[in-house]
Amino acid sequence: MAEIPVLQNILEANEAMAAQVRSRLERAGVVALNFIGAPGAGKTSLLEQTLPRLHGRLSVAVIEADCATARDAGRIKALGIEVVQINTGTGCHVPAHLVLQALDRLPLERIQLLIIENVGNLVCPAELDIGESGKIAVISVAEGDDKPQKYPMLFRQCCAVVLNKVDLIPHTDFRRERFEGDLRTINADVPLFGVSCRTGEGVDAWVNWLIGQTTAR
Amino acid sequence: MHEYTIAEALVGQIERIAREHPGCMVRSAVVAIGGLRRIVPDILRFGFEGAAAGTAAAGTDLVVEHVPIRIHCHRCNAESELDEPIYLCPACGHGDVAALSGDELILKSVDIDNGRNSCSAEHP
Repeated sequence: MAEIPVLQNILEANEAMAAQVRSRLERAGVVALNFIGAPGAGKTSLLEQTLPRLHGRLSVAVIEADCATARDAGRIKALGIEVVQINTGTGCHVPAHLVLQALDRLPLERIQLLIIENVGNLVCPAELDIGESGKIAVISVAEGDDKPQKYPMLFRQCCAVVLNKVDLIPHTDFRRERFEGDLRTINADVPLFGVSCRTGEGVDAWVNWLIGQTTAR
Repeated sequence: MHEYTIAEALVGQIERIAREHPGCMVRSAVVAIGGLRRIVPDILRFGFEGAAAGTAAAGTDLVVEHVPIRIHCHRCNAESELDEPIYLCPACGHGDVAALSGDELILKSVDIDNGRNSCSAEHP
């Protein structure tokens, strides 16, 4: 028996593709944000609130990833935004090579911000680098206040947290102090935005932060 | 369930190593996985067995080593090991800490042989 030392990242094939995505985006001067959240957290609704507010301030394109259907892409297209749909079939996350393919169908030279809406899932998308500049955790009040401790990989890595459906807080047992307290034990400084995509509450502060990200880099 | 994503990637890596050593069988593989990854070793081994079936990685014994989450506190300079991913210094309670380990996802080594005598560990 012979031992062969390997010492390679297990996800190295994906990392190599992610590096290609990152270098193409950097050359084009595009900031890419990877939106990760559970099904129904309101990732597409957040985009529907966000994209019109960016009009005239930032040029944006979107990659929509879902297991099936082009419904979310249709919702983005209706706003007049350039969008590419990726269907992952049984895949519970979007791998970097599919993002790389999607870049060919986007006008990178004309945009400043690329938003990638990942497949609804709090686990696998947090494991995989897809060449993004940062990950955004989208979580909703209806999911409960215990999610940061349950999904530490995502909340540790993300560069911002959007807590959606804050208009529901009075009708639920969601304890915002507990949510924030738990979040701070995992990621002490991450910006947290409480929003309601139904009423528009809090969205402006989030959008201003988002615009800051494209100028800060 | 992210164990399956990792299992599939592992099978791909082991298949590549098997191709680089023709005539040899991969007997075991050692992986090091950080505590932040929240991997359940049994599920990873089960997923790996399924993903490896019918490939050159089939029959590989997967050894999963746990890498603890370790942090360094900028406030009191203590270095600590965490059982849970709660990034507060156990010594002084402060959150101004740097992660030293815990997000590892590494294939460390594989053992190969050709059933009779030792295979060369050198690349052909």
